[in-house]
Amino acid sequence: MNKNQFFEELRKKCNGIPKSELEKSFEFYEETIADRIEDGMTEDEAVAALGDIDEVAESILQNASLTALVKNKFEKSKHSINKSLWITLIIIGFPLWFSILLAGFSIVFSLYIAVWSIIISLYAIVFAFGLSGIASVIAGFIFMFVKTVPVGICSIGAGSLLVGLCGIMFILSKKITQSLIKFTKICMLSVKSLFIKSGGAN
Amino acid sequence: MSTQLGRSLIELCVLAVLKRGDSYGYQIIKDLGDYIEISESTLYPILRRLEQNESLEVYTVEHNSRLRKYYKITDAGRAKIEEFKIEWKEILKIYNFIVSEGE
Repeated sequence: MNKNQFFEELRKKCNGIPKSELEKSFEFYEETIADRIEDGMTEDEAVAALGDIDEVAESILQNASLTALVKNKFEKSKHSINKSLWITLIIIGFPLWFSILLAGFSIVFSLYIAVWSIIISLYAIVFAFGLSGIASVIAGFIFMFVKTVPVGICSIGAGSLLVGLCGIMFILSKKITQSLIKFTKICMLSVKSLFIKSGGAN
Repeated sequence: MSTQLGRSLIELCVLAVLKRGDSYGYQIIKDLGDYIEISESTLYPILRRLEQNESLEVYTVEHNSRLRKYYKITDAGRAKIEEFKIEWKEILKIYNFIVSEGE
């Protein structure tokens, strides 16, 4: 086989390969053929010395896929640049979005504490009523002996009223506390479901 | 010899030849021919791969009114040779151990 036949056959066998790759490999083989001819071989001998034409085609194909792989890696790294850019943005923007988030949370938290403070003061009232009520009852008994009986009975009466009010307040506060806890739970669940939903969408 | 091992060994042989001096395709085949049977179809992808991982550089020289591609080893290529030498010293130790144990 002479040179031209060789390269024509090779072109046929390496059909899908980009032209630039093919031309590059042809340059290489042309060179060694020319060197062999310089060494004294005939063109046919030089072409034969290249080896089995299928092996030559195989090596060109092998190399072309390698180049394609290298290109592919480069393209993939472009994508990862996008992701890493995002991550960098998030990190750089950290002072901004974090402070905004923190401010938001603080507002919500303070509101929440305000509500709980009301509850706590309610309980304080309950406690105060209860304590003063008991104190008045006890004082009333003492008054009965130390002062006059009517004063004592009055004190006992007032004390019992306070204790009664304490009881009512206590039941009320308990109910309010329970509904507040329920409300908190509902809020937490809806916040959670926000995240779970978006996580599912991702 | 497994193809993976064989291929990387031939790569190192090519680098070793280039370490002695810049060379071109046909000359490399002749120089290596004393040690290993290598044809263009084996050498070509190896040279391309070495070029792609920057173990060698390519430049052209005019010769008898045609262009000849010369290959020159880079520092990265030299480093690969040194790496190989160190690795295989270890392997040789292990080989000697196994051989001595066998007796």
